[in-house]
Amino acid sequence: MNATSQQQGQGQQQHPNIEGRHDDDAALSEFLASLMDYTPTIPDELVEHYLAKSGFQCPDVRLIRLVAVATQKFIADVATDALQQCKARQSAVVKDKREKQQKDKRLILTMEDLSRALHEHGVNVKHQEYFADSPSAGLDPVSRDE
Amino acid sequence: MTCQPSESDFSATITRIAVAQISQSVGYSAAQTSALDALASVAARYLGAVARYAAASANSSGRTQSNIFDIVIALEELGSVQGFLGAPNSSSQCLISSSILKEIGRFLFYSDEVPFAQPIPRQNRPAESRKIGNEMGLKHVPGWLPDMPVVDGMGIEKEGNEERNIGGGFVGEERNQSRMAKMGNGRGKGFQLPEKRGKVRFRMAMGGGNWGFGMERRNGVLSRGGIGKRILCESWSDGDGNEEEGNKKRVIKRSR
Repeated sequence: MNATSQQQGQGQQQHPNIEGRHDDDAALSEFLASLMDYTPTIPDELVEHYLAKSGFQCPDVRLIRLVAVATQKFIADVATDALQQCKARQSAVVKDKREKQQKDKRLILTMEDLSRALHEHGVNVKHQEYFADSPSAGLDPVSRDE
Repeated sequence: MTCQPSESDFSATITRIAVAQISQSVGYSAAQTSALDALASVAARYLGAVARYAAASANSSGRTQSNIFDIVIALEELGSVQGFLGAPNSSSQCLISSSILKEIGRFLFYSDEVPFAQPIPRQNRPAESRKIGNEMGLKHVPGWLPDMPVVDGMGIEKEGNEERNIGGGFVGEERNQSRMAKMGNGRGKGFQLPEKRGKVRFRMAMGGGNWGFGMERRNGVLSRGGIGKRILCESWSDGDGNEEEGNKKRVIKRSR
């Protein structure tokens, strides 16, 4: 990997600072080595499956790890944003302090928070606002048809 | 009748577990099912999108194999919606100064490692175990084509469910071997019936007698024929008088 990046870098244009480039390449290979220490939550086999499905070919395991870590970071960002939405909603509702503390222990990922968090990342998720058991549920008794 | 889970169910379930673990590490203690499914679907699409963009950028550079530059370009394309701090990858600078990699490095440094919950059985890729050339030894078939479908003695083609190739090689080499072991007897004989078969005898009676297997004949065209003639009988009914479903035609062949 290091050799490839060196060839590509030096083949493209004459960089005056070649020594700095070697340092950068060393830093890059260090970064890739640190990737191998980290075990991403998304298993390698799953990542390979989706990569192969989309036409991505690479025998290098470090790149697979890089993609796995990038995806994990993306999902973690989305989940963190949704968590912040959830906490903001809980603090906005001023109720019994005892109730709120109990609720703090159980933070539930809801569709509402998720769709707001994903909207910021460019993914539009539509979800049902509410479910009713009959068409006349919730209407005034005057307007309800007998 | 249980339907066999498809390969997409398998990968979708694993994705769901991984996403649940990630959201737990972020701080959630529970999740709605629909929300979890949506997030898992988004994760799968994100992976596919990274792969597609990386493959496309490799192809546009005249390569078939992607390298780290392609991945960084792909990540920048996907990150451009929300924006990322710092400058994008440019050819004059080294990759390490790319902000995408810096953010990933920061993520690696600050987040705890959460390995996947259960080990996934990793199978050998079929590409490694595939023989060069055909199994049947057909010389006229190019070697890069997949093997011919193996047909056993009954003339029924074995369903390809077991051998479905799931990208990174979920297909078991053991399954290949077990199937080949099963086929060991019938291979080479092809469509031939086994040599020794038990003799089959039929008892024929005229005019509504018992046929020896609990059925009565109602109408039938029974013609006397010599050995080897075929006899057609129609609309069988049970001894109780119930009609069988529809009209069943039985062809009975006299044998010696």
